[in-house]
Amino acid sequence: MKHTTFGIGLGLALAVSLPSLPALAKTIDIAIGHQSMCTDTYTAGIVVKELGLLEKNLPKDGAYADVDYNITWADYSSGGPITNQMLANKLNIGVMGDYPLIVNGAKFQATDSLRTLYIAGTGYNLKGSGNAVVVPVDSDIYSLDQLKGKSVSTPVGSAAWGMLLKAMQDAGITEEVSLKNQSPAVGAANIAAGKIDAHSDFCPWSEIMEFRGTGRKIYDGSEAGVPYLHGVVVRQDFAEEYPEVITAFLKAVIEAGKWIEENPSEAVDLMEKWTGVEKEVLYIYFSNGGHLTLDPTIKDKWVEALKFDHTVLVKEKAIPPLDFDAWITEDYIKAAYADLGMDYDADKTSVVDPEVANAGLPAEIWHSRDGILKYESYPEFLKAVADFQGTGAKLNATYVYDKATGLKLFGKTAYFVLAEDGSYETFLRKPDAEAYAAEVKGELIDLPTAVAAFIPTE
Amino acid sequence: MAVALRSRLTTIGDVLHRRFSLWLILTLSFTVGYYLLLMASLILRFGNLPNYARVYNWPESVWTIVRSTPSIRDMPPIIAEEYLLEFGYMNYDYGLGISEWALNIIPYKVVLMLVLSGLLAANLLLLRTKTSCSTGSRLKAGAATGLGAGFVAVTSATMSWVVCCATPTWIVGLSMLGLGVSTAFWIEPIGPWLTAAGYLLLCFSLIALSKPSDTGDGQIVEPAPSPQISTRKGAHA
Repeated sequence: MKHTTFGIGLGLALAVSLPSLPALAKTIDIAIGHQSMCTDTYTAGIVVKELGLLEKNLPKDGAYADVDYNITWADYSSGGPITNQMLANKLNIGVMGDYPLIVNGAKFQATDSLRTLYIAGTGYNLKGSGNAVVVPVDSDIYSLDQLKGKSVSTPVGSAAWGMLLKAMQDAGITEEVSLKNQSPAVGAANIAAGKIDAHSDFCPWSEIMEFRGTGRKIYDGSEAGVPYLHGVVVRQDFAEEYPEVITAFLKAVIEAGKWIEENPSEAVDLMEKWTGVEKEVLYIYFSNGGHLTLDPTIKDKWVEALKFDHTVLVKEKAIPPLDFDAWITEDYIKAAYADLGMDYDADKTSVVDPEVANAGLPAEIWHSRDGILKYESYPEFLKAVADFQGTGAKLNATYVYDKATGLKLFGKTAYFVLAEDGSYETFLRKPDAEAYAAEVKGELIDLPTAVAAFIPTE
Repeated sequence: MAVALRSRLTTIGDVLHRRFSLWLILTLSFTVGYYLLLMASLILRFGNLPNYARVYNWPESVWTIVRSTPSIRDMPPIIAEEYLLEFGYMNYDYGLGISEWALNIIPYKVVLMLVLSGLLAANLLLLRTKTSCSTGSRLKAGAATGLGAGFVAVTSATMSWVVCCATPTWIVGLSMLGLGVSTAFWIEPIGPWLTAAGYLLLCFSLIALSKPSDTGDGQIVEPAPSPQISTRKGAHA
């Protein structure tokens, strides 16, 4: 009896005193897995992290008024480990390329109780640029069909691997090529040393090899014609518990894209410091006319591309089935657009085709001191290069566009065609340049030869 | 049948009891040796010494998985992937560094290796013990032991290589040896079956080798002492 009275008294005292106690702050752990060596993930990874865009957008009122956020970022060299860490709930959000995204969705759906949601893209190239096949710079191979009987390495399971399989199928050389499994870094080193006939890799490895002067592209992913895209996946339990946090993350992704589009030179300069990837390489992705269109919307065409990628993976890796309808949701990205007062449907229907969008864009010189300089015509561009070389000015890089695909190229790796009428065009692939040269009765030359014509003789 | 099996299990128990210290040392040595062999193969294959090591809070990881995985059936395969230690080579030629390859110490796999090593050690002790198992049978059992140990060892490898999606999988070892990429992925799903077959072979050979000797008193006869064995025994004395 005595104990009962004491218990009731204690209960009453607690009931009266509890409301007057300060509320205990709740901590929400947000763990994000990203890839600092994969350019197409930057707007949902390194840029959001370094600019503090997630912190800026996280909800701080209503149900989140007393919440503390514990944000952690983990950098990975591929998407596979991000999926494993998400399964273990050590990461809530993951950013990765198309093939690893599919493996992520399928692995989660193979469990009884865990799921991820594909909630947004980060960026895309409509025709598949970003992946490419590179040969040693001194190789006598200039097209994919010349790889018959040769060895080609690629990181198996990556988007570049998927592109290579399709490219070899399209060219009918699948049975005649020896495929080897090699990491990007080892593949790049082997290309530099001439130890492999060709290497297929994802963004930005091909351009790193070209910029360092060790490799030359013979095949660009755009020739496969399958869009190359990256995206964001989130654990469904986390998204359902904290939908406003996910919306905040996607607002940060959108803002990261805008920041890059508004300040590409400044952005690549900072991104070089954050990632260690050369800014001249990053510029080919993130500048106006670059490989990457920063667009987080989920387009119907992307879903079709992902379904195609899944068939490739099923055939090659026997991965589990994936219910795309259950996996893909536009709810969060639409909410982010609405919060920012942006038109989701307008962005979703807009598709950038480099061949159209880049037509007529000026050639560029990255002057070490003066920054990016633009030239409306190739003669002006070549004369400027000649003049700068004459003064010994340091040029970081030069950029031109492939006439066939509209892709931005390093000037030093492009094939120039000087037509009979004195005009110039530039090409990514030698066969395209040769065909054009024959058509216009022109001459196929390289950048130094083209520049030489503009060097003053006196 | 049950009596015969019980008799053989008794023989196994007797051998392990009599040579427990040696069995334990062999078990631990095989396990440690296995991981040293994996590390050596990585160093030889890639030509780099490991340049980083990481320690993971395995108990906390397991607790996180248990708390956040609603289905009990989902937990074991996820926990089985959790690392305790990682030793690898970081390539700093590009970006901020890429983990090129790594040897991952995964507790679940370590347990599997300890079981394998224990069975292997027991088989070896029985092979050196004079039972009434014929020479032909001993040879067959020895071959089965080697095959079984090979199956389990190959499928328990926890090396990761960035080209194999950078996750530790047993086919990394096969890929490193030059097996075709598509073939390696094609045979990956049969890994658990190979592991099970390996353990079964080891168990069968253990049973086969444990046929009690016909010395009349049912006692196990130790092999004739060799200088090497004497030394080992002396060391344990």
